[in-house]
Formats: sequence, structure tokens, C-alpha cells
Amino acid sequence: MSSKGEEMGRRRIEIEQAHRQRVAQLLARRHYQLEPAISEILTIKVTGVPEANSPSEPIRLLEVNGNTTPSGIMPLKFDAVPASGIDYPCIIVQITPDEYERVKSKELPLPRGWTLGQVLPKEGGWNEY
Amino acid sequence: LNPTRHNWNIAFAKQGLADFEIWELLEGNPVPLPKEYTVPPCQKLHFLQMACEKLCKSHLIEISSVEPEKHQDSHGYTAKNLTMIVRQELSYLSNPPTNGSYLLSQCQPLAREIELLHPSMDKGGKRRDNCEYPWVHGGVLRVPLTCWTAATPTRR
Repeated sequence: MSSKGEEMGRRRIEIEQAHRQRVAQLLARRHYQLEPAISEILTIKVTGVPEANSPSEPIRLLEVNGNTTPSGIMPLKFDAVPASGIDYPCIIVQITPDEYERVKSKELPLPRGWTLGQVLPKEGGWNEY
Repeated sequence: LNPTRHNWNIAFAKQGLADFEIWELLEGNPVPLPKEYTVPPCQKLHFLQMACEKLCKSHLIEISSVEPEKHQDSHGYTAKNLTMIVRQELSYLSNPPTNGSYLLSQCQPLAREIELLHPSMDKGGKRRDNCEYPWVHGGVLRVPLTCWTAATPTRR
């Protein structure tokens, strides 16, 4: 591949990664607004999955919710809904604050290859992209 | 009814007949039902319970570590997950719902009640009421057909 082609490829990946991040933030903000008992929402990264090259790869979120019941790691999958700005499928794991402490101490393990990413901010409007 | 063996027999037969009448209705058979017959609340609730359970499992099954077929005889997914599914649907709206938080706070106990409609979900023996099989409460044998008064999780 020519250097121009490589540059275009890199640029495409950067755009895709930025878009994926914004969609994750959009979804997280909406969840924060709908459920005030959610204290934190974090991204989950998966080892060996180049997300930017896989538009069908889901966004994974771990939500810490004081109002939910403890049941371990029970991920739910949802389809993409582009009409609502959610361009990727998503996988949501919801846990209690106590379970979150156990996840951080590795006492409650995430599925193989999953690691916690960044905390997504609460601030922003419903449709802010 | 006292919970004697004979009355258990009657209770099962009553509920079985109620199930059979629904089958007849679904088949479109001309059955000798009273003119004022309406589908009993327990039957409506039974379908609600099954629908919610399968909806929750459909979101779980693709990424679950459990083999899909194992989900056919497992229960207890509705209380937690139905609220998450409702919330996800709300988050697809183009504008924030004004009563979203209230709706979700009401959804959680309702989802728990729907989960308890399954006979195997009895809260450690404290809630044997369900929409399929007779049960004993306070020394009295109860039948779903006559116990549920409306298509909402409330008992007579």
C-alpha cells in the first residue's frame, strides 16, 4: 500500500474510533439520565478485537447501578438502532456497587478477554454527539 | 378448599379444564362456553410471563456462556433484565421522556411480580402463588383460575 493509502487507512480508523466513542457516550448519557441510581458507566475492551475495523462489533458497557439486583455478570445484547443515533450493536452488563468492587478486585471476573476501559461522563444533553 | 389429595385432584382438573378451554378457543372450535365467557386473568398472565421471559432470554442468549438449549428450563431472568430492556427502548427516543425515571422505578417491582408468576419462582417459599398450578397458602388450596382477579399481578 502506498503511503497515501496507508494515511487514508489510518484516517478512516481514527474517524471510526471517534464515532464509536461518541456513540458510546451518547448511549451512556441517556442511561445516566433515565436511571439516576447509575453511578458509573465504563467501556469494556476486548483483547484482540480491532473495533475500528469491525462496524458490527458491539459497544460494550458496564453499568454500576445501586437499584439493580446482584446477579453476577449477565450481559444483554441489543441491536444497532441507527435512526436513534445508536449505530452499533451494544452489550450492556449491569451490576451493583458491591459487585463492582468485586470486579475491580478480580473476585468477580469478567468474561475472558474483557477488561474495563474508561469511565464515560454523565454531562451532556440527550442528543449531544 | 382444604389441601386433601382429593381436592388437589379437583384443583388440577379445574385448571386443566381452563387450559383446555383456551386451546379450544385458539383452535376456533365451537365449544359450549357461557356467553359471558372471557379469558381468565390467570391465562392472560401466563402468556405475559412467558412472553417477558423469552424476551429477556433473547437478549441474553447470543452472548451467554450457557448453551442455548439450557435456557429452556431455566427461569429468573425477568426481574432484572426486563427493566434494562425497557430502559434501552426509552433511550432510543428522539427526546428524553419526561417520566422516564418514574416509569423505570415502577417497572422493576412489576417485572419482579411477572417473574414470580412462574411456578418455580416462589421467593424461597414465600410466594407460591402463580398462574399455572394450584398451591397452598395459609392452609387453603388455591387454584389460579379463581385466584387471579384481573390481568395484573394482584391476587384475590
